[in-house]
Amino acid sequence: MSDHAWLEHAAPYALGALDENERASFEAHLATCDVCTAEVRELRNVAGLLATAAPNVGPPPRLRERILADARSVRPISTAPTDASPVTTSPAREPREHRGASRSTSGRGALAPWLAAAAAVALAAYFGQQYRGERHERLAAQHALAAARVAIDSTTTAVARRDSIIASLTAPDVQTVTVSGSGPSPSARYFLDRRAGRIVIAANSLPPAASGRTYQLWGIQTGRPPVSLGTFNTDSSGRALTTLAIPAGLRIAVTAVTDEPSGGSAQPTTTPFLAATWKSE
Amino acid sequence: MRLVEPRSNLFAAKVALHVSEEMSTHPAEVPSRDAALVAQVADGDERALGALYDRCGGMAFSLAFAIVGEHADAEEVVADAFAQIWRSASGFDPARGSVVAWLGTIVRTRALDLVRSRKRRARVLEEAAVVTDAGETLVLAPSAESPDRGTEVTEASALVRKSLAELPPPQRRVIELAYFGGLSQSEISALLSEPLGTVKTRMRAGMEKLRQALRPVLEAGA
Repeated sequence: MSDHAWLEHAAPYALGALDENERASFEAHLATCDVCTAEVRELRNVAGLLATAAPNVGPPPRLRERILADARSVRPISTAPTDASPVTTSPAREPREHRGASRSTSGRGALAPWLAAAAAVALAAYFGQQYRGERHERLAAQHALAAARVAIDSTTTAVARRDSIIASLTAPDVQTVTVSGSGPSPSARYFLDRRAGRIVIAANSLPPAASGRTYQLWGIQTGRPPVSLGTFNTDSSGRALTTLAIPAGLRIAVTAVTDEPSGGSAQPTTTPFLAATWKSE
Repeated sequence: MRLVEPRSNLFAAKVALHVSEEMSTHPAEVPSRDAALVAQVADGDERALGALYDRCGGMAFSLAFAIVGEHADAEEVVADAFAQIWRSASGFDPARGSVVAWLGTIVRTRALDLVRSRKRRARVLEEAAVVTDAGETLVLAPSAESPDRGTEVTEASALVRKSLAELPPPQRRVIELAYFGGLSQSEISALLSEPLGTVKTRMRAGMEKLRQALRPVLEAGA
């Protein structure tokens, strides 16, 4: 693929709309291409401006203070005094604790004023530290939780995908066809689940499509033009295991794979291979 | 959010943000001021964080709300986003894009994460979709400004909205589904029952038109 062809990926990339495999290959390309990097930078700014197109909704006034309070609570990560020097903490950051501490110590009247003041500062520092520590822990926990949620989500997605593949492989009325390519190497096993409307292709010894190319699976109903069932690619070991949806109403008689430009074509543009014929339902 | 009358049309052209009084009237300085603010934030300057919020908080909240659809969730998203900015402002690289784009990305990512984590993306999209007079379903409602609210809409966001509105609806739709809905091209293709190639073409064409239409703002913020 020429650099110019790669540029087509810049707009969807800037919008975060590339599919995972495309994104990975485009990012690999970006690392070596100044032209695409510049294009992405500009289109990111275009996409960034879309943020300002959201209908105006005013944030609640408390949000500003909350953000600043959260910021104060995590400041000690970089500039926090250590336990050895708590009094360097700026009293301005915890006026409430300071006032509270002053009241509680001065009420006793037994301490010299300077001692009361020192105690107040120490208490303020202590409670300030505690306060910030708790806030910080809470914030850290929230972030860990958010990260865990994302991880669980992606795991759930992966498991769901695997489940769907397993279901397609094991459903009672699944039809299976194994085909070999014309040459010595590529082969594929198809699992067609007409009822669930999906097909699994397990390809072997099929070299990954060239840069900027992809494999596309077609479903052909007798007497009609081929219908795209989606694109896939093999990994470096020449294998792919992909589930693709079958458009409703398509009565597949033949499936076949072609090599197409990245993103797929509306109709096959190269010679089909790994063709399988299917008996009717 | 505090609102201040835009000082000049030029500045207004930069961002849909609060315009602070000390800002220069030279538009080219706006982005560098944004970047300078972020640099101060990276140094742990709390006031700079406040100033950044004053400038970008309204945009951030509106964006979060457009994606998550609930005030409380939008508030969480924006608070988290600014906490992230506070922790990692040093990661901002002006060479990779504007502050607005960077902040928008952080807010959008967090908002989409939240929506996805609750498995309600489809529902939110459905609720957010409106049918225009032309019978086209769009993700975002046509922006209806409420002048009585003293809105901080500046010329930049007005231009972005106008440019979006002027796109052919099919192009606008795929862009909005991608940006505000977090959908990939394949997902959009499936959702709209349109060929993937069509979705790709529309997205590219729409983004190209937006780039041309937004050239003045982009150049001011380059």
